Amino acid sequence: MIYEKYIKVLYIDMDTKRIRIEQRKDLIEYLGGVGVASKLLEENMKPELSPLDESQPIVFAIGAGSAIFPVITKTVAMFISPLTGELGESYAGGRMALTLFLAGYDAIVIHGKAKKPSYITINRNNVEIKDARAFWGMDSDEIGRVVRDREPGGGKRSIIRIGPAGENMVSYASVCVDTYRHFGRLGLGAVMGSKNLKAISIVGDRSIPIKNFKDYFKVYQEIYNRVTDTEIMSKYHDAGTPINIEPLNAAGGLPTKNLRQNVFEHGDKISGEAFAHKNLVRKMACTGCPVGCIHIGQFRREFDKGHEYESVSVGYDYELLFALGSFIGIKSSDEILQLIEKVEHLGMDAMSTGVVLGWATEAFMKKLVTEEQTLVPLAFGNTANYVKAIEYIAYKRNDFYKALSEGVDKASDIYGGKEFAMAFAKNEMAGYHTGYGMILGSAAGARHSHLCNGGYSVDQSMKEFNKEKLVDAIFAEEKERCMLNSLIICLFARKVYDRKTIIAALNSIGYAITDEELTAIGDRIYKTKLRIKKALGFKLADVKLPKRLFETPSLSGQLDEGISYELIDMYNRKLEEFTAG
Amino acid sequence: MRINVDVISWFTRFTGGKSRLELDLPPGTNAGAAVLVTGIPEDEIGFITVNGQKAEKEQLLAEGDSLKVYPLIIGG
Repeated sequence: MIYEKYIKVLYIDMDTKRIRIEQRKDLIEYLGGVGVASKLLEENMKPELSPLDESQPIVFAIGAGSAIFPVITKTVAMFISPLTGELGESYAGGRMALTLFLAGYDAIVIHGKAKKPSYITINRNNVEIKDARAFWGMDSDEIGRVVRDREPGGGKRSIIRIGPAGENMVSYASVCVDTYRHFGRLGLGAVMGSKNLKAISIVGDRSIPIKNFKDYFKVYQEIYNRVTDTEIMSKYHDAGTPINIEPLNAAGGLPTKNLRQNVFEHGDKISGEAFAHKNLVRKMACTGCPVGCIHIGQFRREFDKGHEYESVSVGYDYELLFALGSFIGIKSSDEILQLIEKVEHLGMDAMSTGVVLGWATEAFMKKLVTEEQTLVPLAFGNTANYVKAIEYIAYKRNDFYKALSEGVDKASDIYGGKEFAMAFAKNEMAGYHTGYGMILGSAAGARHSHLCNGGYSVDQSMKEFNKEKLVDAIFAEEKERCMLNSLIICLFARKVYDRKTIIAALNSIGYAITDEELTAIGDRIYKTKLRIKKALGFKLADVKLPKRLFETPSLSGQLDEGISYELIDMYNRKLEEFTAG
Repeated sequence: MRINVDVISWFTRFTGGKSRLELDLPPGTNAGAAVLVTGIPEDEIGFITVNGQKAEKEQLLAEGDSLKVYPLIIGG
């Protein structure tokens, strides 16, 4: 908590409805964000029990700089992932960080399972667990509307909620935050569902005076000007991350049709340019961000006969265009938006959903599964049948779709096709077939996401392939991001927040912190995550890579399986030295 | 020698709004140098294709070659 020497943690037991608050001085050495959340997860998790056991915790935390400086907008959620069975970590923007900050909490730990469907309301004076029986079954949009209508605090409120996929405990169910942001990856939605927790509404209405306003404002202005007056972040506002489609497609790094191809023949129809010309209607920002990177696209839908149309608005970014576009062969921006809307309403991670559908389509093509199991003939590019399949997954329509609801790793355990089940350590791949950096970064990353260490970015910046340098770069970036995520900076702004800027920012609000201490915090957090992973049974040496990665050329050319495993082994030895030290 | 350079719309902010440029360059010019003539800053360039094939900046150009310039991949 700003100007305090403790971390304020709100504990909520869904079963007993007991609420307590602790002021944890011992957590200050983790600074905030992912540091605090990792420690709280480690303290509260039950490694011997299922990820969806009611006694498992959900932890939310804001960072040491949340809502105080520009582009520090994220909240972290930590949990045991029902998808991977190990470390679950996910970030969301929107208004949640600001409202938690102004409600006066640094972190929330939620335990237990409510006896009936419930939602939680949190403000600075009161926490309540309320009846949500009438809301169970609602999609992410509807439940947002209902809570907005029922609960006061509009304008200073954040509402996070799950859809039917979370209720049905799909292993990669997401949590919708303020309509256009999400805790997307690794299945936080299923963990909320397992607790009968449909939504959380947070109202933050405190006012916190800044003590040394002159110093603070000087640093704030410098950061703000770098964000708004330089080119560092303008690309994120302009076309946004969908700009990636064109370069990745031209260079042979765009995963297409379950990575049977690295180039999409219809790439020009789903590029950032195509969306900007045809669908883009609005740009939005998380609270406290002057960039506005959230791109909202619109498509037209006939909802009744007689030319009855509605216009439907959904958010889009690169990962969604890859997963629900090129990866399943969808060749128009309108159709991609239609698929995004479907996963949004049902409350599923778009990336995992797309990759699962890619595997299912190839499994069907190769006759590993029949139409009796898939219920509709799955084919790359067939949007109408994918819309149905997404719904079948969310409701676990039959044994096949139940398997799909547990991810490609589980589905390929049952039906075969492991060689084209595109996951890293059970987490479905991100949209970058860029080279060894992406493979190592995803395999070794704490949550097996491209966001752990930006492996795709290392592939792009390395002038010459060198195994040692690659391993060192991924390792250094993973630790640095642990530190950045203790603040919690939006990673789009990582070039703005260099060490000097971070130190100046923290110093201006009373944290006397040095460069060495920031390094130590990053190390401490990474070690905590590694302890959690070990306790949950994860062994990097056991990771198996899908053969498809080595059959389809990447942006860096044809990749070698042996070199990939060698890199993982080198990283593993580095981790052994790190954790022993 | 005459070289055509196509840029995606993001880069038109550096090229005076033009998405296609025709350059007249001395023989022996390489792809990286040709792109810099357009005004696109070096640190903005992700990669270049020459006649549709990904090319190194050092690749020497020939009369009539078509270049396309792409930005760096961005994200978290």
